[in-house]
Amino acid sequence: MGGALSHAEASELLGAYALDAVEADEATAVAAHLASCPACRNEVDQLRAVAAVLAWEGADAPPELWDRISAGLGTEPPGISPNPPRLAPLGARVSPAQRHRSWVRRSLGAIAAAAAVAIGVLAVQVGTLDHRVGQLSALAAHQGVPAAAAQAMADPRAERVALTAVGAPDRTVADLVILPDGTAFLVEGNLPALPPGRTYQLWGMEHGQAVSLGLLGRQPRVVAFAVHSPLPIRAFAVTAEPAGGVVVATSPPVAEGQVVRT
Amino acid sequence: MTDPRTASDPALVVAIGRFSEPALAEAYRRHGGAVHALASRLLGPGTEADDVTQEVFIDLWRRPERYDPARGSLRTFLLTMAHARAVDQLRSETARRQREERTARETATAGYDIEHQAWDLAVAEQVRVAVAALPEEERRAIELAYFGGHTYREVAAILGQPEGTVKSRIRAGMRRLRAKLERHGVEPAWVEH
Repeated sequence: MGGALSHAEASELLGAYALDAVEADEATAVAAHLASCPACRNEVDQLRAVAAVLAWEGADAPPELWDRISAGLGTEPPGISPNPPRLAPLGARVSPAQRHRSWVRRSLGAIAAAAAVAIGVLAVQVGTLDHRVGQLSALAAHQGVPAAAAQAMADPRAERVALTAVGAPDRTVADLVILPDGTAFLVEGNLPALPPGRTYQLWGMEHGQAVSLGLLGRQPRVVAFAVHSPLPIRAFAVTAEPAGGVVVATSPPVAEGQVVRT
Repeated sequence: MTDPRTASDPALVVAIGRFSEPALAEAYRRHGGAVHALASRLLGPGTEADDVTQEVFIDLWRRPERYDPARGSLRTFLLTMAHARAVDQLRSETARRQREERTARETATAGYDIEHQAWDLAVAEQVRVAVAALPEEERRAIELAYFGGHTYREVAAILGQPEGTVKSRIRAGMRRLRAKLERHGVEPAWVEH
């Protein structure tokens, strides 16, 4: 099967797709359709819930298997993983009408050098743990992040940072919205799409060090992350990196911005 | 989180995000049996099913952010992961031969029986009734696809029916089940703790 599926073609496959009963190429095609079709996504979620009920067995979890799982956790503690966890790319865009036009936009030359500075492993751990927790807290609230992002944009307490293209300070490529509790969003992302195998990575300057705040994906639109609260980060930068992310930026920033107190 | 045993599933996942092993242990206690049973159903009891179960929970530990409560319960998420992994395993070339042997064995003894899969649950009766009420050919197609790990094309070959027909029957049967369960007040939320 080649090419994109029509809605009707994808719909016919949803039952089999929800049961993992399609060929690999069909699964890829359906997944591509789901990315842009909330109705089909919703149906797949519901059918998977039905399948889960069919699979339900009252058997207890085998205790001896827990010992294996527990032992497996120790081999690679997530806290010292050199790669920041991937942040979920989010489909929804926030309405331009909600955008605050008055945000101060300023280029920040200093961060170009700073992002290339070697950063301590501890700083990476802190940043990693921090945004992982922040994102999960948002999940626990049963709130879709695009909705949460829209809400954050409307929050008068939010700090806002315009990220502008390096070398073109008049061109805003994304905005950051940061709430007092450290919950933060990149919104209105308009960076050029990177080729496969590459990702944008967000950095914050914290106590003189560039701390990774997470991976943004190949073409970020709306992404959740988190920062320390109260905000010690005054400046941000975005670099383009290999897909798994890096501990130390390998290229100069493509976008940058700083917090401006009004 | 105070006590993992009284925490909601989403709260457990948040705690797992903070590297709380007791929270992961509790998630395993709640859902490990179902995950292991589904993996065993597809792969047969033994090492392969144990491996899939282990991978599912270690994956939850490493990437808890992949669970989105807005899209369903934690149990559905874990079972979806387990099913996908088990099916990948089944469809790998090395496993195919062993599976063919096992399929031959199973065919010789007893057929698939989804009615006995959904049991020991507060809503077991509704599920049993809903499954039993399915048209026979829809029930067979769903059983072969979900518990047999077959693609709809393989199911079509097994049943000697057109692929398009099988594809439609799987979806129609699943939708029928969903509607029936919802009419009986059984919602995906029941698998929430």
